[in-house]
Amino acid sequence: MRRLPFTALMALWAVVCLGPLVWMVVNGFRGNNDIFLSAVGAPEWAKRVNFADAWVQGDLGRALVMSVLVSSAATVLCGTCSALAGFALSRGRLPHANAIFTFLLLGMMIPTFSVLIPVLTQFQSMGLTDSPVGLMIVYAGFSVSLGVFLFKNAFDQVPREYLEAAAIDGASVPWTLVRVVLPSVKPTIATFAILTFLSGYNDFVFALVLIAGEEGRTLPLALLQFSGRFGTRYDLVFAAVTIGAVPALAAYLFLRGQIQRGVAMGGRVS
Amino acid sequence: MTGTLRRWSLLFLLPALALYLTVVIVPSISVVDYGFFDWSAGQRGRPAGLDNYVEIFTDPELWAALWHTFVLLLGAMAIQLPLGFLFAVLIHKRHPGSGFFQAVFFIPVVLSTVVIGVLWTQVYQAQYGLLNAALDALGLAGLTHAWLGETGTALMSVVVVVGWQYVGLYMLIFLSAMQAIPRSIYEAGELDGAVGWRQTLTLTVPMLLDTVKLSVILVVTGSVQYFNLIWAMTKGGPANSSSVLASYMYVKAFQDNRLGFAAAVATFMLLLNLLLAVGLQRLFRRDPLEPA
Amino acid sequence: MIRKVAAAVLTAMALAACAPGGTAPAPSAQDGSTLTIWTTANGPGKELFTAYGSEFERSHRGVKVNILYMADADVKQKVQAALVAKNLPEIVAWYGGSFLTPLVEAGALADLTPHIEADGKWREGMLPHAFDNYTVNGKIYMVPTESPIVQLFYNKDLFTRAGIARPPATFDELLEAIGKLKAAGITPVTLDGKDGWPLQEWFTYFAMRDGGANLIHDAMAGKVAWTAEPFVQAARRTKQVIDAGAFQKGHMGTGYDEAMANFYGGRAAMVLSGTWITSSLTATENKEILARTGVFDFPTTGGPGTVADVQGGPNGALGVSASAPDKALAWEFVKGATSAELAGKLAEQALLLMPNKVTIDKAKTPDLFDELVDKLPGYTGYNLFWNEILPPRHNTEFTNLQNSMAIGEITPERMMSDFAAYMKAHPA
Repeated sequence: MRRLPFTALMALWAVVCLGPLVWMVVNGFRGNNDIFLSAVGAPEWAKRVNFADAWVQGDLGRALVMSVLVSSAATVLCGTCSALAGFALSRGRLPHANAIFTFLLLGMMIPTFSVLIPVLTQFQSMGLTDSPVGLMIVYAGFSVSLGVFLFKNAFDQVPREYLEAAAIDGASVPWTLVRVVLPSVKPTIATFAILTFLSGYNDFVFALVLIAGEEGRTLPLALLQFSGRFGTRYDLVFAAVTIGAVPALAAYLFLRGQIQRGVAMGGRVS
Repeated sequence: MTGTLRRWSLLFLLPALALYLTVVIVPSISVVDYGFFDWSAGQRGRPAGLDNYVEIFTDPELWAALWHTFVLLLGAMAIQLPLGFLFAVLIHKRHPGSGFFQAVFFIPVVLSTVVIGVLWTQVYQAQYGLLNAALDALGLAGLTHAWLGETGTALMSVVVVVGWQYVGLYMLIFLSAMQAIPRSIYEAGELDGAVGWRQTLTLTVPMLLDTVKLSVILVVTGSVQYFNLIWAMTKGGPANSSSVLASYMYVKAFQDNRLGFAAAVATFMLLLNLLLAVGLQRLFRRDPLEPA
Repeated sequence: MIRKVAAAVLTAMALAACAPGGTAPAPSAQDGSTLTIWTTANGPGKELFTAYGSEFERSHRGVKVNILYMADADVKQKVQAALVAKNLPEIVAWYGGSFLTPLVEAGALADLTPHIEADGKWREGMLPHAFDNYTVNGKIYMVPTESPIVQLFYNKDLFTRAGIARPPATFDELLEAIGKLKAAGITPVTLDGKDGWPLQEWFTYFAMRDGGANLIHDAMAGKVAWTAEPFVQAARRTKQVIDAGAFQKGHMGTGYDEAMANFYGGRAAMVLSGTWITSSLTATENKEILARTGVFDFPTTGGPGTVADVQGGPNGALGVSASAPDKALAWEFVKGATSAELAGKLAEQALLLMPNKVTIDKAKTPDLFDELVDKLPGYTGYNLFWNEILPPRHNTEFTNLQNSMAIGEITPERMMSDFAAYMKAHPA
């Protein structure tokens, strides 16, 4: 029975993890006054209208699409760039490859927050403020170090024979990269994609300063503004934040293994 | 072949370099430059020499923010690392319910910071918040607070959420490190009588030292620019009692309209981060426990 | 019920009644042009504003109106960021005084004077002092959309329950009322201390009562020291109110909505608020609260300031970005948004005090609003909010010190001497 205290501890932590989330969903199904009168209470099916209201009033659908688009585009852009660079540094027999690699990794030690002001001014001069494209470039840029690190290391593990065989067949370099090298590092691609997507999806500082209009708002921005603007409609705030949590929870439900592997690996390399 | 490969490789390097220079390197250099100006939005900057830095080192608000950053860092570490480690060990030992607990503990990691911030702001709410309701139900009404509203509790309340968010992450990092330890080492240890918790202490912990160090570096360097939950929950208040370096900088830049000064603060954060990252790596490398 | 039509608020003008109703000839079609507007409008005023935006789209074919509603604190930060990014929207809500000057100096706002002068009829519909706070070097840069004042609002039922016969008129009576409410187990005052400015309004009122309305201007001009007795006394009074337990638990970290919800929900007896509260009161779920709410003048302290001096005046102003591609179109929008016609609707339906000359039909508006309107002629001194007089960085310092004082880290004397030192080191 030595196990019991540990089981109890784990069960307790599970409650701490899930409790607030369950409370959030339940309160999304309660009336504003009921929430006020008591923190905990039974949900009412009739109050499902809260979700529709939050969705419409907060324009959450558009914000969600914007978040997914910007983060995916950043992932693709940065993934392409860093896979190419990773290949060049791993297999390109370039002079000073190590120095270039180290230079590219410096970014991991630079706090993104400290470049907030210059990014704002420089993107302004390039006409990239208030544009999802600008935001995408920022998110992509911040993941270059991680991407190059992951891809270079992964490419280093690809057996030399694969490349030699391709070369003998007369395959071009890009063809070799796309058809031979990349397919053998699929787990790295997944890790990279998950980490880059999540960092863009979670950001709100750069969205806050770069995006001015309602059209380019990402989900975190929409949620923050929602709780600022409908602060007294607690029922709607609960519904909105539930809506905000659903995409990530759904993705986790279906891709649990992938996400856990990706994030754990990201934690170890950063 | 080598010639073509090189030419292709040079070409392959360009997009990543361009992106990296635009978003990371050039702005990092500019921010240092901006820090030497007295400059506000829409106006031409005036060279200010070291004035901004003199102010940085004499402004008690900045030191308070630095201290809060430090508290946040230590507090988050004190929650994340031990709990993450303990849970990793238990799950690694296939404690009953391991699969379930592993899945559940990781949920907060995937939620976005704003979702967590808004949700926990409600949890801490004084009148209808979950925490006060739970305390009331447990007969601990005397312990209720306006958690984010009192100077004595605001920072710690955010620290707890930061910990809450990442216990699952460190659990997973430790767990995957444990799973990478070859079985043969345990088998050899078992012959020497290392079983159960003893095994954990004598075998697992030393093997995981590298991972622990990496995690510490990760937490430390992530904390210097910690902003998201602070901003989503307290905006540094009440009365600056939960301000951190990043929120201090943000306020200076976008509330006080002092971009030059904020850039100097950003430079300070940048240098501090580099210093900590390099310093920690050095410190850990000298560690006598580390196998050569 | 007798239909009582009062020529009220800000003088009745026959003109307002027959103001042209959106029949102005539409300027030439501006295909594909977009007007983005950042505004702090909320509550029923927001709905009217949205309706006006759609109406504008209909009367100006091809123009897309994109209105972004923001909280006060958000708009302040977004505009600063937009100044750096040079992506200010075509039309932006902004503030006067020390907030306006940097934008004008940066050349970020278009000079509206020529447009205003060309529109004599429209200008007639505005109160004479409407532009005072938005004029720099003789040029008008913004047009106010509201004219709120700050007063103490109270819940009549809770006052009765605590045995308070009439609203406090003096500082001592205020403390006494706070004591009675506390004794009755009622939160006396709800405060959103998270934002800094609400507590600053308490301080400002005390300073105005103790030192007269010109105190801050004299101090800014260097004629009065920041450590002068009325300032220190105001800080002491603020602290006294806090120490009397006037505010709810955790008041220093309570946000605006949360604090107001305490009042709407009948859980706090008083709130020091802008008159826009009447608008919000109509929109809360607690249908009885509007009828139970009364208003009284901020108490006097025995100093030279009188109840005729209030904080507030023309506010929520709209300006046109200097980089707006079609400034005439943007002006057209601002003009319509501040027309007597829309102002009349905002007053009657959203219960807002307006910087326009409007007539309201008192039969249609609740008593609380009528009471406010009736009080208006008694107010002779409109005083800018201090956070518009003090430049942003000085105001941040002020609120930092004020908050430290509020939580007991420093004494009221120290608060003002530190602030004096700051003002000396960094002249405004």
